[in-house]
Amino acid sequence: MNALFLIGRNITLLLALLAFPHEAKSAGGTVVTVNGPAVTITVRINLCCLHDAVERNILQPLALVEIARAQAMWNDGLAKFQARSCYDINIIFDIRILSRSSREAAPPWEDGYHRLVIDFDQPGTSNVFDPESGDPNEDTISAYRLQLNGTWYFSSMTPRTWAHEIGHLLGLGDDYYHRDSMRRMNAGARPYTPLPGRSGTLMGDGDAVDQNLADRLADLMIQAGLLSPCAQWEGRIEVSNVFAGRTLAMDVHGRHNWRGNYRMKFRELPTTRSVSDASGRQFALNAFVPVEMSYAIQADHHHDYDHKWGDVILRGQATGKLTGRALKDALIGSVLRFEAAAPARDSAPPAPPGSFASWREFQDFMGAFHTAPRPGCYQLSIAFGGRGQPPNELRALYNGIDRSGSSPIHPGPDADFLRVMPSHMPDGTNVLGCLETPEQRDVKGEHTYPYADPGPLNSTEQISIKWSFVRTLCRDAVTCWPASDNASAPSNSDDGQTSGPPSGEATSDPVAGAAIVAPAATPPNVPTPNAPRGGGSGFLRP
Amino acid sequence: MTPQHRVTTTHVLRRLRSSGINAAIVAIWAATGGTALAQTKNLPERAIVEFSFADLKKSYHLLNQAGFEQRAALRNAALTRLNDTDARVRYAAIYALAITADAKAGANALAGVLGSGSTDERLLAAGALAGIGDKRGFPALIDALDDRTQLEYRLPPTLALHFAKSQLLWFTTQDFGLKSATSDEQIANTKAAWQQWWQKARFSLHRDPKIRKYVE
Repeated sequence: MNALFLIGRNITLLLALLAFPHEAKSAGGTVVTVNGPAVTITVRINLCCLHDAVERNILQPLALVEIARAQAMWNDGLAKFQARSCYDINIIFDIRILSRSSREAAPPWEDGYHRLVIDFDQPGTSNVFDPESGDPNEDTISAYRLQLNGTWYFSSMTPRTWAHEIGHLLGLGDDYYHRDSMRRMNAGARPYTPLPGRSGTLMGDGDAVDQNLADRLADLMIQAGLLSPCAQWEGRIEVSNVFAGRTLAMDVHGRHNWRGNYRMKFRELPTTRSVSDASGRQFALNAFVPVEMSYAIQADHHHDYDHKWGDVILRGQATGKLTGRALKDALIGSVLRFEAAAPARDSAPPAPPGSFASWREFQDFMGAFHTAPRPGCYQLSIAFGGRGQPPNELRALYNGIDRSGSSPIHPGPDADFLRVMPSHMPDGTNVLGCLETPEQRDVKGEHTYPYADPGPLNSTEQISIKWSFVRTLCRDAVTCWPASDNASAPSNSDDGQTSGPPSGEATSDPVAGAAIVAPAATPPNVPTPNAPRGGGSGFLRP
Repeated sequence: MTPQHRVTTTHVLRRLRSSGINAAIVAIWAATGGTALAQTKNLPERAIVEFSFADLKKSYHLLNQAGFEQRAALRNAALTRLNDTDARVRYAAIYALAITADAKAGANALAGVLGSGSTDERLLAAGALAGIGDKRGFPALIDALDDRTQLEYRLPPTLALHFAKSQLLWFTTQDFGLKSATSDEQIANTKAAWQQWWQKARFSLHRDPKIRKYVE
């Protein structure tokens, strides 16, 4: 009997479904677009419905004015805060007021929009209902996953009420105690009074947007998988270039020992860009936004050209700090973002070996790194000559290192200095590695390899690159960096290159900051490190 | 499969009934143990008697939904509960009537609530009357312009004078400084002017259907 009942029931339900198509699966009514630190939340709302000319011509414009004011309340407030110290959030209310021929007709709801019934005359309590929330004080991501329902009664709404109700469509819970909630009873608070610290704020009892609301919006988007937690990287890269020997190419013998020590801080931010590997597989890209970098480059360099052209001596230490455009050009990078569905570790590439027997081997590693990447792989490049600056500007970065010796001097002393600079000081410095988990905190690694002299003896400079960073995720209530580190500080100049005291701006443009030159040997969309550039091999060429 | 075809259970049943597909109704009834139809039928009544502070948002959602989908049924249910001794149920009934009444049905019942000792009930009835073209609610709204009582049932938290302000500005073409009044004191300061206006306009005031606002 039971079996017959179940069969009959299933057939009946099936027939009912065929006759009345069920709702298609769709995304939530609140959508997010991310472009570096710029995050736009678009709240897509269907309002049902307009029924006559008065509602269309008189009441609708009034309502739209109120909604525009509510949007301004959010955006004016959010403009004062960076969410989780990373994101600049802007909100768009995408309102579509629907029309229907009669009040009996089915509402012409649009897919992808929240569904709000409107009433122009009655003093009801406006409400957005979240079926997944059991606690009105909790933030939820339902608005980003579902099309929520509700009712808005225009006659009893104010811009604050509009802004508050739309706050629910951003996922925010109420910041006031509900009358019969356990939370209120446990706190011994009066009903409808604001939660601790929430007095005067928009989801509480006022109209202010504060840091708390901005941070909670970022948290919701991160929780919904629509925004990556930004991370701060802070640490150092140490590079050495050592040569001792002889090359017949220029009949040079001698030695050099250069060391570069770079301390840096930068932020990792999501972009809407992606890259593809050789097989066309797409990887979402996080960009690095440089915050600061200081450097110390030590030179101990004596090359002798067997009396033909005399010798070249470079000694001393250059120190400086890069800011502004110079920083943006000198420190670039990216990381392939871990997607929610992606495993922490994919098949390729293997963990990089620390040591490479030949320059070719290192080149092969770099090639494999870019043709078969996996989520979590990162790269960093340091270069001083990224903008093609004139020689005097570049030379200024090495103040403290003196050029002497009897070799022929280039007609321009600055060009002469740059010509004898060894590789990787710093141009050509590339760091390639992979995070194992999205939450990874300690990031370190090492590359050592011989950098080939172009001469026939293939004598080499020995390159060693070591890096060590602390990577701090900023998705919790963690303040990753103080306000003084603000990477979006106002710009005073666009050419802040300097050695010595910091000046000018820092960049907040991660997309531009992540601009990467792709050599022809690799797929065009894959981030590729800079080839060594600038001073060359360090061996004087006539 | 256009969005227009997406319908709720209520719409399904309504369509079936209007199409005379009784067999399908019986089949659904049998398949669901009759609960779907019964629940649909009882939604207005349930929305009123189950109104609860424990989940006020859900309570309002059910009432608002019933008001949208079963307007007449909710109004009828409200009229039978207007004098309920349970203040919570009585408020829900007044609320249900407030969102479903029209000039022909419910106006006098709402007018009867204007004498309530509850600020929530009184203002809700006053606003509802204004919304259906009945000017009897204006004195209560004007009187509340200096009333800082926290309304017990409104979400988000609303003071009586703020509710009165929004209603008066929405339904009339008058201002008397109320629109730009931001503090409670500024709102209260407009009360005398509104009272004078009411005394002057109470007889000639009527709702202009072309703009759905009250004019003299």
